[in-house]
Amino acid sequence: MGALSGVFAPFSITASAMTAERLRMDVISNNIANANTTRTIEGGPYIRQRVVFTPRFDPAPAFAPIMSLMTKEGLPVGVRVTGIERDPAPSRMVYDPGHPDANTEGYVAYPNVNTVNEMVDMISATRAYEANLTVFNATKSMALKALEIGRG
Amino acid sequence: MIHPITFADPLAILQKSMDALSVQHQVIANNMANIDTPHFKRSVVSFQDKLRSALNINEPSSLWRTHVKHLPMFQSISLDDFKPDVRTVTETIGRNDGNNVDLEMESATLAQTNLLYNSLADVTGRYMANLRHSISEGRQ
Repeated sequence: MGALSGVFAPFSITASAMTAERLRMDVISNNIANANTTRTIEGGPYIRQRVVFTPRFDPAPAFAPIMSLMTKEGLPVGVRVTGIERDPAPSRMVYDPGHPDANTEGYVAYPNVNTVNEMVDMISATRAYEANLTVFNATKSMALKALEIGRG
Repeated sequence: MIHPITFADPLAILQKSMDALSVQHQVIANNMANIDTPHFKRSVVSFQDKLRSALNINEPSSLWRTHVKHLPMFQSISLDDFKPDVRTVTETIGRNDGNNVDLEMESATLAQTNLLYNSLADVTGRYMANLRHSISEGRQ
């Protein structure tokens, strides 16, 4: 419990989302950076990666007295990234016989990264990050306001 | 101190309302955190009607209790047992990935919750200031 319940729970929830969105942004950056990488350690071109988000639940719901208010799975406490998966889409084949990674027919396998899709995902990640920042500021203003009770 | 109409301690009412609003805030934070989670369903908090019934504030047309020993018309819960209801909305469909979090809706509720909470904190502070004023016999 601790940070997962009470006044500080929204901070923890929002922080989990901001961490997740930042990781998503990192993965998108990596995809764009490797949009033309035709050679990797595993062999073959770079394969596009994508993050998988799942809701996070309080690992010890029995200790949270507020839990009875919430869903049966326990207190929802944000989002977590359960994995970074590879996009199963096929590689982009480009005819370039002079390329050192060209196959016998003269085609080079380029990563299955579509830069435009990545840009759209990047904007989505930025906006989600900003939305959570708004929640963070609202939480802070509420907590500070509660601290003012009985003062002055 | 007991309020003559609601028979409840004003501080207890404020406390319960602020508790309910902080639960609502937490639920909104969780909805916003899961804005990109596939198949996530948003949750909503409702407490106003329940709090009203806990305070015996009924509709204007219904009977009023003017004394704490009057029998209630309906079995209402006591303020001590009051808790907000959290419900997961599964009926609506938002996007193709099964997520139904609406950013505009959540932002609006967030702002509303924030303002209400801040104003209740302000009211609590003023109530305390009044008490302090009485304790000091109006000297300050």
